[in-house]
Amino acid sequence: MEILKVDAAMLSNYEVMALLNDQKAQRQANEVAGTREVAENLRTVEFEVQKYLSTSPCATQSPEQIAALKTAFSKYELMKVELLQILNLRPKSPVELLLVIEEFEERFTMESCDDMLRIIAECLPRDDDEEMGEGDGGEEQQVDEDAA
Amino acid sequence: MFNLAEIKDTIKIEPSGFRKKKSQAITDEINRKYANKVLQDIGLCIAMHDILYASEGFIHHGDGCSYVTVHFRMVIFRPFVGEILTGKIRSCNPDGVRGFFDDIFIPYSYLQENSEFNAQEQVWVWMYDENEMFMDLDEDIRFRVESEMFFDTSPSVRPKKEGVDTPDLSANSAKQAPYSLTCSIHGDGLGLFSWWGT
Repeated sequence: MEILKVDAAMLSNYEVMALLNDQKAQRQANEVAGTREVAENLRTVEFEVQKYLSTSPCATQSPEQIAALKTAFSKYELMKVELLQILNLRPKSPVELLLVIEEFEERFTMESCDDMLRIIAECLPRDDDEEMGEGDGGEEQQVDEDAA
Repeated sequence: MFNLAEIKDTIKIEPSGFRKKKSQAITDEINRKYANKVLQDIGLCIAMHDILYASEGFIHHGDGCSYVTVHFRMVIFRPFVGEILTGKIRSCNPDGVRGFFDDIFIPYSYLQENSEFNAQEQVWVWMYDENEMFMDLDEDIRFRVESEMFFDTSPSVRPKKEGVDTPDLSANSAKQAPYSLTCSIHGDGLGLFSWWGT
């Protein structure tokens, strides 16, 4: 094994989720023909990551929304990682936004903060009431194991 | 949080895999070999992203398997230092708080100021303006990555526990995660979602 490049590219949560979903769909299509079995370790990590991502903001994103957000933010000089975190975390309040952007006070004004939040809410629409109501029962078991 | 790493490796395809398409067989083999494994100083492998190049298959003398040199890209979980992540609290103990991927840990010095450990409830409490903010299990939490650590778990360097000699190899080894993150929730906006009304 040889590592050619460690950081070939960064991926957003959405891209990872799309890849895993694709992979799974493709596999299920093949499973009907009964030609493939899935490795245990892949299934585990796939399940864990999908469980995590399905509760994160990327679950409702689409390529069009992400492109729109990127264009809308092009007027601000943001670093790539800051944009990526905005995409992954989808900040809703100023305190969250200031967290992901370094030295916000020196680089931007509070007006642009409001503007950024508006852009985020517009480009990545999301029904938040639904999000809050979601509960997952699968987690509890693992908590017990961890505590024991 | 996720990134891609380019890797070159020789993949062995067993004869039973010959009925599959070549790309499928390679993908399956790579995923079986790498998925959910930690590569030293690279991160945790999730799944194969795509194949960049694959050579012809070679069959060695006395062996029915086909060996293919493959350049491929792997999806890696590796948050950078300073990145903000979200997760759920798995457990609390007097040393600190444990996060969602098993090996994310927040030591008590990185909790919000004036945090105390409630021994009765076995959780940490943030004393803020005389309000007691409990950090209950399973709560959503937002935190910043402070440092990362890789630990080589290959058998040769694994420290042996003194005075323990059982045939079970896993019992002899120190339980140390190969890749762990130290995080903090010390700062505005960090901590439970409910603290910040989001």
